[in-house]
Amino acid sequence: MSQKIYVRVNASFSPEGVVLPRSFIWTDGHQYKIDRILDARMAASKRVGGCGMRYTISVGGKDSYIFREDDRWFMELKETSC
Amino acid sequence: MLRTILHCDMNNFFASVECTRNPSLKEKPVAVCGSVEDRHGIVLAKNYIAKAYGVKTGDTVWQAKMKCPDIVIADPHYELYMKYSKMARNIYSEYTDKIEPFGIDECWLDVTSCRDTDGDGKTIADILRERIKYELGLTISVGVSFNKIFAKLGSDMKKPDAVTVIPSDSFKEKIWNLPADSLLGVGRRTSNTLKCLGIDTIGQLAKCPDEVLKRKMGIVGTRLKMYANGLDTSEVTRSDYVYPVKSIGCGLTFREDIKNNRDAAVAISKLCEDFGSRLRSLKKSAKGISLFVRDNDLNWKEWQTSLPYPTSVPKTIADEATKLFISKYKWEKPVRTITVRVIRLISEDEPFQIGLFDDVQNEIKNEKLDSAMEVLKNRFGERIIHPASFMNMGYMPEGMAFSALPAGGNQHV
Ligand SMILES: [Mg+2]
Repeated sequence: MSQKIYVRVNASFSPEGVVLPRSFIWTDGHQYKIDRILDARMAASKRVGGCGMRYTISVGGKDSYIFREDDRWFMELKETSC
Repeated sequence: MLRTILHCDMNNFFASVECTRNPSLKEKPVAVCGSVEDRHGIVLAKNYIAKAYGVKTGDTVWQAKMKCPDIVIADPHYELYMKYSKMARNIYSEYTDKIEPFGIDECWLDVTSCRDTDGDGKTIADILRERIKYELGLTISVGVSFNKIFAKLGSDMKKPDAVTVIPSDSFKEKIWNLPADSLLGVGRRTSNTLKCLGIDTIGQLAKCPDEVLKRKMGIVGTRLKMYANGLDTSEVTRSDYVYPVKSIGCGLTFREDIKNNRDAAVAISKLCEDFGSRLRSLKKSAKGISLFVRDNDLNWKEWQTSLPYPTSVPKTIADEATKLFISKYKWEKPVRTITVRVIRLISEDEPFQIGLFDDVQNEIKNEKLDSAMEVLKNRFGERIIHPASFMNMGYMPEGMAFSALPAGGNQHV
C-alpha cells in the first residue's frame, strides 16, 4: 500500500492566481528544493486517494507528483514492504 | 434543429467517493450507511461488489451484514459529496453553461451549441467520462439524445463508466421494448395504472390512444405518451437559474420510543444540529420546515410551517420544529421516528423582510455561537462539542442514525 503524506510546502502565488510549489519538507525533516515543474493538471491520486491540482516535479533528478487538494499538499509514499 | 442533450450520472456516488478517497476500499464490498453504531442505520449507497452480494439501498446495516459479512460500513461525508458534485459540474461548465442539476449526482447538459467545436454528443460524452475518471477518480454513465427524458433513460441503460446514445432516427428500435417504468416520471403507482391498461413497455405507451390515457390518468397520461414518442421539449435550465437543492432533511429512528415532549425536543435539537453547516456550505437559508413523525405503530404524519424569517441557524430551526411538534402531536402513541426537513431554501444574500417582533439581536448571537461550534468541530471532529442537553441520553445513538437519504433522495430538486 502507498501512503498519503501531507507535507509543508513553500509556494509562490502569482498576481494571476497561479500557484507553484517551490520546496517541501519531507518525512525525514529535510527541505527539498523543487528544481522544475514538468506538468500541472487536475488529477485524482489512484495510489493514495483524493484529487486536486497535480504537479509533476523534478527533485534532485527524480520525478515525482505533489498534489494540492483544497488548502493542503500531499505526496504519495510508495511502500514496497507490504 | 434537433438538440443534443447529455445526462451525466455519477455511478454509486456516495460509495464511489468513499472509495476514491480511500483506495484500499476499492477491492472490498462497501456500503455508506447512516450510522455505524446503531442497528437502525441504513444503507445509503453501495459499491458494485456489495451489490453483487444483494446489498440494497435502504437495507439496515444488520441486513447488509447478514448478506455480506465482510462488508465495510462507511460513514457518510456529506460535505465531501457536495465538493465532488461541484467539481464535476465545473468540468461540465467548460463545455456548456446550460447545465441543470438533478439531485446531487446527476446533471443534464445541453451541448447543442458546442457540437461544431467539441464534436458530436457521443464525443463530448466520452471526453467528460474520461475527464471525470482522471481528475476526480469517479465514473459516470452518460445518456446522449435529443431530449432530456431520453438522455436520462440512456444514462440508466449502461453502467458504470459508459455512454449510451439514443438517436432520433432509431430510438424506437432502441428503447420501445424497455419497460414503461424506465421512463422518468413513471413511478410505481403510475406504472401500476399503466399495467391495468395493458401497457408494459415504452412502445405500448407511445401507441396507446390519447382518450384512454386521458380518461385514466388525465394530462399526466398524455404527457407520458409524448415522452415515449420522443416529444419532450423541456429545456435544460441554466445552472445559474436554479437552486440545485430545495430541501435538506435529517431523520432519526430511536432505539427506544420517545414518550414525552421534553425528549422529543432534545431529539429535534439534535436533528437540527447539522443544518447550520450544511446550509452554509450551500450558501442558503431556509424559509420553512417540515416535520415528519412516525409512531411505534408506523403510522405517520407530516406538518409544515414557515420560519419567521429565513435562517440557517440550527437553534432557531429546532425551536420552530419543536413548537410545531408540540402543537400538532397528540401522543396517542409513542414516537419511533422524527425527520426534520428545511424547505423553501433561498440564497443567503437574497433580501428578506424581518418581522416587527423578531428578536434579531438574539438571532445574531445564535449565529455567532453556531459558527464557533463549527470551527471547533472542523478542528477537532464532530464529537468535540454538543449542547449540554445531548449528554446522558440513553436512547440517542452516538452517531446519528442517519443524516441523509439515498443519493438524490435527500436533496429535492
Ligand atoms: Mg448516480
